[in-house]
Amino acid sequence: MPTASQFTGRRIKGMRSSLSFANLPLLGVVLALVVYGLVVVSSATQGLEEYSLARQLFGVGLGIVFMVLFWRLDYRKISHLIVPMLIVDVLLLLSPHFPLIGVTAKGATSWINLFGLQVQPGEPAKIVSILLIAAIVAQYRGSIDSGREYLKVLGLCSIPFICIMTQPDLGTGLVMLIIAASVLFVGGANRKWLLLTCAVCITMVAMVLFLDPILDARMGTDVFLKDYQMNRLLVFIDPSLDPTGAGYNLEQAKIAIGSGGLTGKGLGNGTQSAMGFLPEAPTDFIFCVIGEELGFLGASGLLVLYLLLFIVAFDIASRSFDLFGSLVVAGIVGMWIFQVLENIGMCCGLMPITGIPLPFMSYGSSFMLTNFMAMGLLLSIWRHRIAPSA
Amino acid sequence: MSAAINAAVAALLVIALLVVVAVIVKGIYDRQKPLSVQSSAPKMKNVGVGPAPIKEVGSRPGSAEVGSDDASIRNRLLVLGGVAIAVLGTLFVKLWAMQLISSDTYERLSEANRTTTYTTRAVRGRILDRNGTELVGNRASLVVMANSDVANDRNVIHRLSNVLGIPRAAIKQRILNASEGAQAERVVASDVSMRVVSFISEHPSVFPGVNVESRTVRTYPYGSAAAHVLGYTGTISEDELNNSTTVDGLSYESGDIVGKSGAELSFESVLQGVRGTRKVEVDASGSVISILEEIEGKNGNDIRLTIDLAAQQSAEAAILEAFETSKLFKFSNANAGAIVALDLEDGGVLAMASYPTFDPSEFIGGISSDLWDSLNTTESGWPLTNRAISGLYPAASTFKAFCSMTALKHGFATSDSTWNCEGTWTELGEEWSKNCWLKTGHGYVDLVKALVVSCDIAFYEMSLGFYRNREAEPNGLQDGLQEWGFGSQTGIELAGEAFGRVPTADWKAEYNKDTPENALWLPGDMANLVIGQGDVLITPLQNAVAYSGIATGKCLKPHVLLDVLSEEGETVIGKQGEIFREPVYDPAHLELVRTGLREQASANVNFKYFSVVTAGKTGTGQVAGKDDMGWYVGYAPADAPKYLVACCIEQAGSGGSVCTPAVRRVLATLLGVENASSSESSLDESR
Repeated sequence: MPTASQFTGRRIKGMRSSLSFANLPLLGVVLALVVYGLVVVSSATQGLEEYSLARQLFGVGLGIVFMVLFWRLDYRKISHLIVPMLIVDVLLLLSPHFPLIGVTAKGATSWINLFGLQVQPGEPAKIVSILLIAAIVAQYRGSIDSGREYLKVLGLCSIPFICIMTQPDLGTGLVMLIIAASVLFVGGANRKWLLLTCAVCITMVAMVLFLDPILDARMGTDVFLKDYQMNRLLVFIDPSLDPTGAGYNLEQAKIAIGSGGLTGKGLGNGTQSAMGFLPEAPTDFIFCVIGEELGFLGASGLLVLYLLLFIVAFDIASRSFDLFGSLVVAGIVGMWIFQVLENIGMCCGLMPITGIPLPFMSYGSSFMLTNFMAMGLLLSIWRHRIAPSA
Repeated sequence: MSAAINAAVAALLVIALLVVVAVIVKGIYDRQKPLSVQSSAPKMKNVGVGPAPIKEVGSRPGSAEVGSDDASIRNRLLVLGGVAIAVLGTLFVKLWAMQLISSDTYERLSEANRTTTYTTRAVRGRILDRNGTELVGNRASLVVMANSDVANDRNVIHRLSNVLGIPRAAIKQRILNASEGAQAERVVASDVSMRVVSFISEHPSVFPGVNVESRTVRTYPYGSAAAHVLGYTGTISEDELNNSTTVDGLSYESGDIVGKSGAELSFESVLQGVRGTRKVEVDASGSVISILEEIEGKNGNDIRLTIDLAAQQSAEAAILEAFETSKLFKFSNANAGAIVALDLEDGGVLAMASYPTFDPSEFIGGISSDLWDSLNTTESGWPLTNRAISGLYPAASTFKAFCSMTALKHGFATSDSTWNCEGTWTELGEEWSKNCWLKTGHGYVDLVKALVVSCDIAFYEMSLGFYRNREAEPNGLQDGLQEWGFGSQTGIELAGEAFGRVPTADWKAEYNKDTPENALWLPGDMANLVIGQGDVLITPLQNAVAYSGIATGKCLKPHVLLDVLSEEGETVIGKQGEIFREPVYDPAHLELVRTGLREQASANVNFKYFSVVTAGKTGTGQVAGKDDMGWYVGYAPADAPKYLVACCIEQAGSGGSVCTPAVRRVLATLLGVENASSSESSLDESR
């Protein structure tokens, strides 16, 4: 395992060398993740007609194109485009509501139909939101102390969240909140305000959970949370509430992971996924396939790959010497951390079930695209890092 | 223990991992610290077009010192890195716990998901008579079952009612009927037509909780013939399930059909068989993907009983005939009784009839509680009771054969003894006078004559001998009677056999200990005992077994199992003649009693035209508050006994008139001779 200090050491000397153009450790880690993901997805999609490995490969291909485009782009120029970014972000997030292209499925208006291709605009909107929030926060040069300014920034940062909740897509909404929180934290928002925001958020969530059943009964319709969302939360607290209903997914996910043991049942031999006990195996529950077929070694191997990814990303952030760049990295890493926690956590029963995919692993091209865009940004930040001596 | 070690190792690993990561991160941080301080100047590049925050920031003193900001940004990045490590560490520990510590549990659950085990019920063995005639067989029956929740679903009950043509209330009643195990599905209808079955199977959504099953159920080709010997089956009760043990790979599950009485119960372990299992791999929708393992079931073994169907049917007809005979003599209450026929070669029970009887087919698929209740009332005469083994009656004059044997043994009677019967016996004093059943008296009688005419007074005289000898031998008579098996179970394989009672002085003292004035053993008690009255109680089977001792010299052990036939048709277990009791006697004494019995039979008008010489003894017993009950025990041929039949009819009025023809009928069937009744009146006055 190449440690971070090994490659940073090389970077310091050969800043202008051809190697400095590309961050090889980052590319290596991502290559490993993508190959791992494709292998697992190919196993998980076996015999399932609604999924195809070709489409996933197409997503990866398209992702690489976007990665190269972002890589070549000087990310620093984007920091001036706050207003256009805000408009693009809002348009993307509201696009599923547009007639003709908007698609509603499973109670959420989260997709658009582009030339026969179903795309989830909320995915690329994550990248736009990261850039937008980082650009806004970067204006404060690493310190937001005034309450008024904090509220102003918070208001701007919450626009993407509000937009996504009109779909509604709680999973992506939570990712937006985490992105904003990460960028605000690293961007120097006063700890006092951050803690206060957290406290207010927790209070509001508690109130929603408390009031939702009452208001639902009063109004006769779902007010804050849909019934299935409420059930998922309740089942998360006590999975035995409804083992064949809302608790079924969780139970089956845990069985899949737990039955993998140390080395797993072997690639393609997972009974939980192959025999249909595990729902949504290639997408939201892809980690269960890893846990079942490749066991503890395969699953913790993935955790190690994520750890390497984060280390390299932090290395890039700390070497950027550009506040905007650092904040973009903070947003990207925050997004990834949360998605890894939420996705793997829900598979293990640590977190409630929400539809958040696993970076570079889950089936789905929109999501793959998002991750490659983030990769491109990281590479761009690396490429345009400011030489300390310049 | 290993879980704790695992957890400790996991914790250590996580700590090690955290340390390594912390060192790496610290390394990056330390390396860049000096650089960051130097390179703080060019940070001013990004002056955006944002919503006017610059003024505010700019006005803040010290904000120009971007260098310190850089350091704090790096600090905050480190905190974010710490969060990342905490997240990954938590997930790692959770995975460790799930995949290494509790993986066995999850593997079991996964295995349970993936596989389903079906059981195939073993077909219960058939019950045949000694000639191989099927008494209890099996047939396939389509059964509609419902779980208990359906009782509360009016719609489903309504639909079932329409489809099955059974009233709604009846369906609900059958589902609620708790005579079966608590969890078992209840049978709503048996022998349902294929048309109804396909309708229900094709519309599972409108019949939730309703299942259709093809079951093998018992069939009784001869109806209620030998019902008490065969017994009936039912769903295993919760108690039976809890108390059952696995024998020869046989283990019970809820819903199993088991023997509840008679041979079905006694030979349960042979009849039941071993269920087969089929373990299959299924997907989430329940479709079978492959068969993983199949264990063939083993059907129950057929058994052959010693029962002879012809004799059995003859015995049952004989009881009904006896009721009619009894009515001829103006005794209209006769409605219960029993007949036992023994094979004197090996003690096999050739016929065992008890009346009132029941129809074992009513128990198929679970008996309704109404019917069950009606089978267990005094009004119905307790038809489930097998009177042949459980009915307790006074032995009456049938006892005289054994009292004679005992009196001869003790010398209170000899071949030369004579007694003068004047109809009244005042030997115990005027106030204790006792009568012979023939008030006019029999005159001078010897032992043989006393047996033939069943003279009571001759036996009172013998009892006095025993009474007077009570100091030396308090239970001389009782011990003698017990030698022939009275007062003990014969040990027949059927459940519910009574012990009977041979009263002794000690027994009477104990029995009446609360009323000391009745506790003393009096000469009258002895006189009652000697004629089989008073406190003595015997079962028809005991009497048959005791007489087998008179007929053959040894009391045979009665049994109903002839042999067990394995599936291949070979005989597994064969039951042969065992001896129950070997009474000690002088052969000359036995000859004397046999002569008495033979002469009694030949004196009996009912045997006047019977082509085989028989021997036997009548008996008429008094039962408080009821008409006299009747006995006849006879065997034939008298000189080389092959068969013995004992008949007991409650409230018959007279044993000689009512029971003798019944015994003759069964003997005729067994011997294959004509049941030649007397053309004259069959009235037999002998007691």
